[in-house]
Amino acid sequence: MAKPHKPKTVLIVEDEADVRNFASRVLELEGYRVLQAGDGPEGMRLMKEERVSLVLLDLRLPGHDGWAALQQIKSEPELSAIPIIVFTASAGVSQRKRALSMGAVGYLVKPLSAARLRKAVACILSQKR
Amino acid sequence: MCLANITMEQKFNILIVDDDVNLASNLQYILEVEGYTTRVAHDGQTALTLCREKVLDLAVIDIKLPDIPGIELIQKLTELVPGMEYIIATSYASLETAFEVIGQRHIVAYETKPLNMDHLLALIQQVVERRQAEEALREERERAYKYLDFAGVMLVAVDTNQKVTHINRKGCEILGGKEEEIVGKNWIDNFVPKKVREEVVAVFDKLMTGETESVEYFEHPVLTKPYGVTYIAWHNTVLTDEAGNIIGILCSGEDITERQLLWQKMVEYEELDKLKSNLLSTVSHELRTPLAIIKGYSTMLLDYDKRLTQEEKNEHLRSIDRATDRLTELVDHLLDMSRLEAGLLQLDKQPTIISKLMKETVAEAKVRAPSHEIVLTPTNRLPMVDIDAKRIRQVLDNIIDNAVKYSGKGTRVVVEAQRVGQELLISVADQGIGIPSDELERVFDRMYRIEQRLAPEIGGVGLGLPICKGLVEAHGGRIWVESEVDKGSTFYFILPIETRAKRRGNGQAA
Repeated sequence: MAKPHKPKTVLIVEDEADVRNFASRVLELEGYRVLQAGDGPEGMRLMKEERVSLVLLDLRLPGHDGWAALQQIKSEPELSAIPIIVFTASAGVSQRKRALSMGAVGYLVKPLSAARLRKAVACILSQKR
Repeated sequence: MCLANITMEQKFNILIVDDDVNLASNLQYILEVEGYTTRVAHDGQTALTLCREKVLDLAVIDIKLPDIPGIELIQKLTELVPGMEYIIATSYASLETAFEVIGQRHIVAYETKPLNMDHLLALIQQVVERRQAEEALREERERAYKYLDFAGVMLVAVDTNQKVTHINRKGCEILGGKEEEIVGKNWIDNFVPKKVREEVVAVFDKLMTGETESVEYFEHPVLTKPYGVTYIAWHNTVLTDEAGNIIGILCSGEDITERQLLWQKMVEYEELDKLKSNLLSTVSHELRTPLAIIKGYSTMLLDYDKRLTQEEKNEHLRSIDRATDRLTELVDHLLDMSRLEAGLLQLDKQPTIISKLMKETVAEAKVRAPSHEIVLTPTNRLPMVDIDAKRIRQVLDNIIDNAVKYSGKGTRVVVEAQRVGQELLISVADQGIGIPSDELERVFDRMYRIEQRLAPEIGGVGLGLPICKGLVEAHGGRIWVESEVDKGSTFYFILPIETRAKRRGNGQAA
């Protein structure tokens, strides 16, 4: 696994602290630089301030604004190219289709193991040049 | 004697008052030939006496009588028989007297003697025909009112001062009052609920000022006796007199209460449906989140064991532990709720020392929430009560935890228990965000989550209060809340003090 000189930055947008901390810790152990946000607006702010390579977005953010956040990010020209993997507690096929049609590159269902998380992130980021 | 004139529907009664006996007798004869019934008086007193005995329709009076002046007699007779009409006969064509009588409604004519019989008969015939026409009109009107009474809609007529002038039977039925009680009262002030008064007055004004002739359709409730409200759909039009002036408004109203109730039910069901799907997605989320934590951290501990410090590993294990607690609580809540609803919840009632229970509960609550000031009001002389201590403890814990959850750090939560008659009253008061008055009952509804609206960042499924309600009611008690938004809430519940406890306490060894 060739790692770049500068660690890539991954943003995790998730309101449950324990889940956020777990994902963040795993990715740090994998050598990524991790940023954390508790809601959509905070996530978008960080995306504009920092150079983010990948976003992990929880669709079931408070007030259901996970979907709204996905929409907004994809509609902003400076942010729309950044790949987004969504995670959610809902396993429905229609949800998956909808997320993908809205521009998400990947879909992860909770409960999530450390291995699946790291594989999904690695897969997307190794495709990037 | 001839038969009565067959065009006359009822016998017309004429009083002849003249001191000239022959004249009176002649007149009587002629009138009776025409089919009228007559009575004769030769003086005022007799005339009065006759009128007391029988109602007479018309009097032919000589102004000059031996005892009472004609005019005065007429006044007296009018008092006795208000509807009677008069033809004055006199030998003197006195202008003064003529002026006196002209214009008075009940005086038909002023004839000079010698009387022209044809003329007199013609006059009387006119009076008869007029009376018949009036009678027919009255009957017609009564029939019309009868139809109004049978109408399935309520009809209310109001005058320019908003006073009720007419109301039909359906209207009385709907309003719950008698016609006498309703007519004459101000429509707006007495029968229209405060909150719609402005709207109704606006509509009335539009009609009264001639802006529109009729207002097609609008709905507003009316106040009914004793303390009810009925929903009516109204059609209003103006009432005008012969000159075209607006004299009032006719309101035709249809009772739409049933329709309204059905509509409300429909809205309720839609809301309930929404809440149901909300609940499902909330429960799904609440279940999966602790599972995600457990899965995540346990796989992490397995995969990265060598690279983690012991400190970190312990921290993650604690997270796993907390998550399982969370899951356990949720599962317990769901099971409790199911049992309560199925009526399968079993209580293990034992005589319990309340003061001890309260002290323990509050002590542990303080440990759980060091950020708040939790106070137990001193308990004295609290009886032993037959309760399922574990369940009542559950209720108390839940309510106290809510109080902490929904109020700011450093605020007070006051817990109190007191005996009130044959009941134990327990209360938990906080200084938190409060509950709007229209939601005070709904907080105990299992599908209602106040959190979503007021404090979306506070999580939880919200089954706690419905379960508390179920548990308290299973004990034969009652639970409720009083609250003011931004000031705080106080939750109360009462438990009946079973006399069994006392008996058991006395009968058994301690």
